[in-house]
Amino acid sequence: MTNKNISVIKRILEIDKRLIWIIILILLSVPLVHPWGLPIKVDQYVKDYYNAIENLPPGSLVVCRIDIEAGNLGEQNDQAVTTLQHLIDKNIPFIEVCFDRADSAITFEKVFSQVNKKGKIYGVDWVNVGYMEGKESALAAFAKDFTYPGKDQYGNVLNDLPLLKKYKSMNDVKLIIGSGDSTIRQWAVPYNVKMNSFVLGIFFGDAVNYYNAGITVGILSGLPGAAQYQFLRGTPGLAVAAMDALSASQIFLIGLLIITNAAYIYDQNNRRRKQ
Amino acid sequence: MISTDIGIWIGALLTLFVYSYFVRSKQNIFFRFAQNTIVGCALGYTISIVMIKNIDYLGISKIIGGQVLYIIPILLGLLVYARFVPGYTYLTRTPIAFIVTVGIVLGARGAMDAQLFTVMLSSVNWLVFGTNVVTSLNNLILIIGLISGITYFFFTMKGKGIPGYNQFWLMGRYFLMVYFGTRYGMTILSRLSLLIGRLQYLLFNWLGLR
Repeated sequence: MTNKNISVIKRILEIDKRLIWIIILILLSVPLVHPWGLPIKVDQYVKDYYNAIENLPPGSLVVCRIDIEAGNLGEQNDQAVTTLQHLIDKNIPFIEVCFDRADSAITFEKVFSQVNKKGKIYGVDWVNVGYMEGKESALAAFAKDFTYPGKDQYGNVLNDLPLLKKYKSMNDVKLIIGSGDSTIRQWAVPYNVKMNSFVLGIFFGDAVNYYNAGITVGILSGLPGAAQYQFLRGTPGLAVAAMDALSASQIFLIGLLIITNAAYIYDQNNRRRKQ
Repeated sequence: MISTDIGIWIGALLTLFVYSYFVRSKQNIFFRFAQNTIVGCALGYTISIVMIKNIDYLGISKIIGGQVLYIIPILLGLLVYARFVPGYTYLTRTPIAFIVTVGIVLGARGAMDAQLFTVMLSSVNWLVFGTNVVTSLNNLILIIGLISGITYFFFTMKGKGIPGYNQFWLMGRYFLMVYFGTRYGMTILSRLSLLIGRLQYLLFNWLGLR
């Protein structure tokens, strides 16, 4: 092995991390400002997610557990906006409630402000119960009686809202949109309600288990899921544009992974040979 | 055009403060300022919301409305603070026992059916033959991966003397490595998505490049 080879390998193995971050930053920023329009393939999971909402008869009640913590809004904003817009467009009434974190109630407000409400009225077409403390026991209590939390996110008495006079418990629900094992344990399985998984990309593997088992009917996972959903609905948004950026950075990282691993193996073999 | 909204400026500056960590790969005054601000705001908001929702909506409002039995969970909740009263710390055990027991029992409900039996049975799809080649191959990989993966965690009895046991054990290890690799890849994908979210905020909302 020549000294030149050793020098290149050494440089690859000791590459400055900041250089990688700068390249990623450029690869993410450029396609966001000037999208390239790379093709998007829609997965069966997303098609099923879409169909589960699309095939709901008008007037069917949906319970959404759109529990997005503020830090995850970048990934899940478009998932939530497109889902809620789909419900509004289809005249499907829904109840939103969150259990994971208190800031989910604020992020829901931010997400819902991006939805065209088409004259829908609060309390009649949708209700935002807000955050409920108590995790598993709160989920169980809410499923039994939607008015159990007493008041909604804005301080209205739940018993006074027309939607909750009509629909009382999880028995009246046709579809659940949410994530987490607890939603499946406390809502989907005990009440035998269809469920669409609404998850972060990192939890896709867990969601697939439930999908394969037939417990959930569709999966919307992270930014790629949101992009596919927007593509399927014919309403391309920020998620579709972001997919170019995501693809570019992924290709770069995969290339880097291969090059650095090859350099590492080459270096190790070289050391063994010297010994 | 660059935003004139003070809220967006605060959000943009806090984002840049957090990312300042990458300049030297260590914490600095800007990073710590942003970190403490976020933690403080989140904690303050959570406490206030929980206080309002639990004490007012679920407690006081219900008791005033005639549901007197709600006094029991309030008293149990207050007993949690008995740990700060010397000589009465044992009183804390009762509400903790309630919380733990209710949590376990409710968690068990549905878990057996949803998380154990249904998922397990669907994972082990024994239909290897009589279906198309791809599905058969997938099922075969699934079955081998499942059994060899479980074998890897078999600590009580080593398969000494069983021919091919060590190879099977090693295969389980490789399956687990593939799984962890996939999870790690998904984590990177997820983190990049979050970064895209922040970049959209900085480029579009703050700098107005759209």
